Amino acid sequence: MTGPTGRPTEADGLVHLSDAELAGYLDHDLSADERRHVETHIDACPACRREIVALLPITHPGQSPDKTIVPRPRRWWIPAAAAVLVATLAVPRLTRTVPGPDVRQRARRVTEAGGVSRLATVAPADDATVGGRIVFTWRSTNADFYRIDILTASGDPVWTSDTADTTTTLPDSVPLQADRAYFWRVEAIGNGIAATTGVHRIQIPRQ
Amino acid sequence: MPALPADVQSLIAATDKAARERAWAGFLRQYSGVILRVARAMGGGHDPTMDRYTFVVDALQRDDCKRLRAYVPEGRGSFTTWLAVVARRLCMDEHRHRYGRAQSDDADAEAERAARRQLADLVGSELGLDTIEGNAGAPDVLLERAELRAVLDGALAQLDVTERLILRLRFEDALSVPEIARLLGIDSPFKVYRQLDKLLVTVRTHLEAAGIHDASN
Repeated sequence: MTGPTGRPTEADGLVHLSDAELAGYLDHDLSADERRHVETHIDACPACRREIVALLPITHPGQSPDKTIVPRPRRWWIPAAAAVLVATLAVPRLTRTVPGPDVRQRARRVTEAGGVSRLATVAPADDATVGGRIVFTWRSTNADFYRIDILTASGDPVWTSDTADTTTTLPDSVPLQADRAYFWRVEAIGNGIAATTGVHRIQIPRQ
Repeated sequence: MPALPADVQSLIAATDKAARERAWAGFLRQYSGVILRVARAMGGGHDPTMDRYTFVVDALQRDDCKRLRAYVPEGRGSFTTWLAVVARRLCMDEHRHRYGRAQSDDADAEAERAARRQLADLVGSELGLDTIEGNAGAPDVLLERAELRAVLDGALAQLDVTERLILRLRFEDALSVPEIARLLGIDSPFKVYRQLDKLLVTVRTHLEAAGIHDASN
């Protein structure tokens, strides 16, 4: 029951956060120590955390801490797509030591099974041999930003970059080895993953 | 400390009945919106929403606005946010008043929900570890799952509070990454995406150190 002090207690005897602590936390109006106290409490107390989660859209609707991010309405496919993102990131790395299909096969299977929207690449073409400065380009979607990954043939990440643009140039600081194949993919990200290009192959020529 | 809004100040300072009624009407004009939003967010359609709204308004006015006066000595956060917190807690009181505290069936359902939403299980599921093959009820499978759960609990216990909170907000509470950034005061959702990636790698490394490389090991 909520008391006049705004610090309710439950039948289990747990003393919950006060009204002022919850309000101060939501408004970022607490000292560092107070915030720490609140976060320690809600880490262990699902009831208070649920209150904060429920109040956030009421007290701070649609605000984004990064003004460049435009809030977008939730879409039905985002939860499924987000799950596929995590699976795409987590499962291959976890099972890296286990022999299995190559990067391309794994990525295709995961994205198709998850029904994630495909994001079209523009350049380089799949299996293209590319030298010099490599510029990656893909088509625009309604994403907040894009994440490009360059992977070795064994799936090890070589370079990752986030950008709001639909093109990016591989920096000189990331030298790709001659006569090797690499793979690249782009993920469009809003409230989770929106779309993926799948994995495309590029070939670095002999020098 | 945020200043007390003029409408609330007038209400608390009012000394005669006519002034109190005028101030109360002013308070309702100003803050009915936030109380209604809280009441509506609890679900159930128009009638339950209006029942909750009435309950909250009555409770706020009771005993010469005792609840509202409580804002003054401890005030942290804006008055509107504080009022939303109070209104939600009063709505919960109204729910308990109407339906009673969670008993037997509700408690079982809540316990089941809580069990289903344990962070270790959710993170394990995100890491693809929820597919241990074999008969789900077989003793060896149960033992294997218990061991996996213990290792995951150990990995999560090694994270600091904020790191674990990010995982809880994402996987237990299903908040979007921008919402997590907003709540934790992180200036860019990108940082949260990267933090989530890093945390999953940390947990995965802990699992690998414990000899767990995939769901079948």
